[in-house]
Amino acid sequence: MTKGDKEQTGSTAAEKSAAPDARASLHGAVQMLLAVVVFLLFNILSCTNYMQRDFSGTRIFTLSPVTEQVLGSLPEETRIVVAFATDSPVRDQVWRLARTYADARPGIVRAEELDPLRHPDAARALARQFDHVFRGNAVLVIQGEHLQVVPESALEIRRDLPTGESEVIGFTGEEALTAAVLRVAEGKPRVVYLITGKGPWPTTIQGTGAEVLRSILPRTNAVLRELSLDDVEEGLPEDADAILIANPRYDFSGREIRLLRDFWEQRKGGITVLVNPDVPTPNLDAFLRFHGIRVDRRTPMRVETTPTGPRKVMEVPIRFLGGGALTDRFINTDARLPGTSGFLEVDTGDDLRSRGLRPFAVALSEGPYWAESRPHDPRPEFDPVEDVPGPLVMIAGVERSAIDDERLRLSAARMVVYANPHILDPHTLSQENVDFLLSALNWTMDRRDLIGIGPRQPVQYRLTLTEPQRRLIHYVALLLLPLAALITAWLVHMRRRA
Amino acid sequence: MQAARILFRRELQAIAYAPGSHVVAAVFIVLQGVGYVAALRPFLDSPQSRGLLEMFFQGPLFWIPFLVLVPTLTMRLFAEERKMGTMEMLLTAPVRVRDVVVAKFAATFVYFCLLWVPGFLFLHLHGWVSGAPPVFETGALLATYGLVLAMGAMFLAVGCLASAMTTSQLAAGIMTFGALMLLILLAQLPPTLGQMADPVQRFFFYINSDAHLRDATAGLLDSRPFVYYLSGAGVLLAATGYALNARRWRS
Repeated sequence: MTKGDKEQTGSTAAEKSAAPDARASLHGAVQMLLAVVVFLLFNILSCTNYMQRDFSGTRIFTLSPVTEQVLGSLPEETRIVVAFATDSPVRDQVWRLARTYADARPGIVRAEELDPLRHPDAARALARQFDHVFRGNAVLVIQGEHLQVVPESALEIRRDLPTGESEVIGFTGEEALTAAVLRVAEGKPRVVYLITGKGPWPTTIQGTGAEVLRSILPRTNAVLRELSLDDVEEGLPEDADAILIANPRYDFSGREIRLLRDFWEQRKGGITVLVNPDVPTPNLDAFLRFHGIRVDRRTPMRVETTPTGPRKVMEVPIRFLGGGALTDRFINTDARLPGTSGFLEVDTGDDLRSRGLRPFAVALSEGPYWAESRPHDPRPEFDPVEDVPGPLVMIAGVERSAIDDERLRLSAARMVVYANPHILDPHTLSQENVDFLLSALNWTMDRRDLIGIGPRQPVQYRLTLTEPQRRLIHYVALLLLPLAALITAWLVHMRRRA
Repeated sequence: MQAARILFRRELQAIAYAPGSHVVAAVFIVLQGVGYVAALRPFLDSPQSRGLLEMFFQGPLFWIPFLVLVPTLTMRLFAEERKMGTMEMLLTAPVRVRDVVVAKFAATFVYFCLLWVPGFLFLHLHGWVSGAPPVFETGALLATYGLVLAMGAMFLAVGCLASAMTTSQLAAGIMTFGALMLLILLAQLPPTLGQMADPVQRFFFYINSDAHLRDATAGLLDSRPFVYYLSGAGVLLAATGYALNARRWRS
């Protein structure tokens, strides 16, 4: 074989070995490309199909059914712009909430961050578009041309401390944000009229029940207006969606009762009554009785034994009865009716059915309570002749034309009656009672699923360690364990040397 | 798989019999200890609204050791073998490149997981010492550790790839650190850039490791970061194998 032949044979062998390498290289590249494509597909799918589990103490990543319902009904894209400065202590929490909203309705709800100080151009553009002036931190809810602003102060509840500072005692972000989304989606708020002229609402240092109601109603996109029936001639105002009769001290006249009846029967307006247990109101009672609810002014109470003698307890714990849209979410709620109450009796006679009325008990007293006919006795005892044993109906509801057909249910008239007028008193206000009252008002306005969303109480983690315990922790964490690792390293080193 | 198992055992033994591994462990334990003591301090002064997990896992005392640890563990994996010429010997043995990559990665990952055990114990230490209830939610603890390990898997895979691309350990370490820093800083872009299109913004949230950790420590177990990190680890390991093979094809 000549040198030239050898060279030719060598190059052919090299070409032969290079060919499989090129093929392997190509195969490798294709495999790599496929791996990248699979990676991308996996992650694109994961963006839309994912699972979440909320282990946080206050369920901060779980939206209430109300919010989910509101978000689910949004027809068009809604932007939630968190316009907070980066140094705000609640910014993370608000941003996390906005993202949870966006995750709950992807493609429709969009969460955005905007720091007006760092991005003045974007802030100016928003300000120009909606004629909005940025004053402090706020969340902007935007749908089309509509804007709702939720200031930082509406997202948290603060309590003043003796030191002059304040501390956050509740985060009301979801409540405020959902209300804003609802406002921007619904536009005009519902109107609830508080009937006045039936005696003043008791005033306390913290204000009146009317003031409380005025502050909580916007959470469900409703506003409170006052109305004296003396000023009404033909019918209740056209914009009235519901009325609230709270703690009346004077009875209603026949004309006023007719106004109520027209409003309820013809306009399907909602009525909520907080009965005054101290003063009889025969016409109002008759109106309620006509609709299947009888008011009894004997006082629910129990007697507890204390070292100083027996003590009368008038505050009544209640248990909500399930089985209806109004109460299902409250079944495990621990609520109490403060102050003095009366109780109710629910009539289920056939004549009511024939009139299309369906009265029902909403909440019963819980515990050893009875309705006492002589509550002012120093040592009251249950008398089977004069008194009524528990459980007592403390809240009742009435639905007219209430049948299972969803379409017909829309035209139902609804009424809720409390045997207690103190649930809105500022000094005895409880979140459970506020939630249920908002729920009841919304139910009477045919927004049955729209209940108040309570604030989330921040979890407070505390830890107390004695000085020796602290020292022990420091020794273990900073000395003992690292030393153990170093000793192991030394032993390994010695063994390797040996 | 048999070859991979044998290689995995060999790699684990190499880690266990290397004094340097234990020195790294000691340094990492000290850093975790300092982080723990610093996170615990505010609870002793006053009640806190954030749990111990959020204090422990957020902030520089978590990220700096984490980002230094990953290159330290991975930089030698392939670069050292190639520099010493043992890689060629290994690849002429009846093992596939895939087995080598999986074995080395798995051994490093096991070691990485073991390094987090002291931190896990620290979080319970005050409870054992004082009998006090935990200052975090147990579910959040599991979500956080699950996330840290998944995140670690992907970050280690980044280190594997970097180590396969060079013969210099130092260069591999710097490349890994740089890539991880880039990955973390990239996700911080949206607040810096301001308004952007929804899909773009969603993409940045999707890869935001800091946000993942914040959510997990607050108690959210979300499947998305797990899919991202684990599939990312898979594709990066495939790329590592490809990089090693590519060198063979070239030579």
